Amino acid sequence: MSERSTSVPRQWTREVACSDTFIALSLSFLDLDSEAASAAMSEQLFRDVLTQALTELFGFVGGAVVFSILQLRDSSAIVRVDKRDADKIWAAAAFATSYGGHDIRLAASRSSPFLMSMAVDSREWAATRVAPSLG
Amino acid sequence: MVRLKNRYLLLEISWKDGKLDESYNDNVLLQALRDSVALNFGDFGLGSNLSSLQVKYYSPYTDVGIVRCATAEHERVVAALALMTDVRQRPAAVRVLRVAGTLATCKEAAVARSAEKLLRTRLGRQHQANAEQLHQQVSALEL
Repeated sequence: MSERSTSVPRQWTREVACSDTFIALSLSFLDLDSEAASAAMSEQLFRDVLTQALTELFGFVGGAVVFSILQLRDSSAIVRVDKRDADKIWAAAAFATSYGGHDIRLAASRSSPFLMSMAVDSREWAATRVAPSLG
Repeated sequence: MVRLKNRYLLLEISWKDGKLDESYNDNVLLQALRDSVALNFGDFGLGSNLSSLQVKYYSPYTDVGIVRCATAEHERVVAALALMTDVRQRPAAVRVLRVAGTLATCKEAAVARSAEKLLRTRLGRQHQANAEQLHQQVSALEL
């Protein structure tokens, strides 16, 4: 019986490590009280505010950034976006000043390629655990 | 010293109504191009192009024009030209015939294209004189 050497077919693969970036954004309405703001807050509203900010700054073509809102808690959300578009999201958030006639502030606080790092805040941990011992 | 490089785009406008309107000059084209850049690429795109974007030449008789833009922005400008559907509410399509690194190369192509269109276009006596005068100005373009 002849032995036929089996060869693995040549494959072209490209692995991209951490293709997505996770950005923590917080949306606040400066001219509304906390109750009205929390009543109006929703995932669709967050998406609309961010989309409008992207379109204003980068136009129709430049602002067609695909992003996902993973979690919305109170007025903060974790947004997943391709790492090549992370700078656009951050810049659009910084330039967003109004929505629907209301003054808003859309601030990006953290950005990480790892979702796990969004679960904890090292500064908050240091403030509660380390700072008291330092006096 | 960092050298500021430009790209010169030779373009041709096809008007849907096929008519001649002498009021459409290089200023009108520049404003329409800026509006298209602002609509499609936003404040960021418009701000990047504000200093470098310029219509060097445009003839409403041959519908041939030369636009200058920065090298880093020429893809956005070409895309904005392709996405233009009208110029001052007059339906039109813009085609980019050539992208050149120097004005001299673009001028040569513009002279050839303009001469070819002048031969094919039938104009009145006054319009013909104005068209040929504009055609002569292509060769005299400077940076």
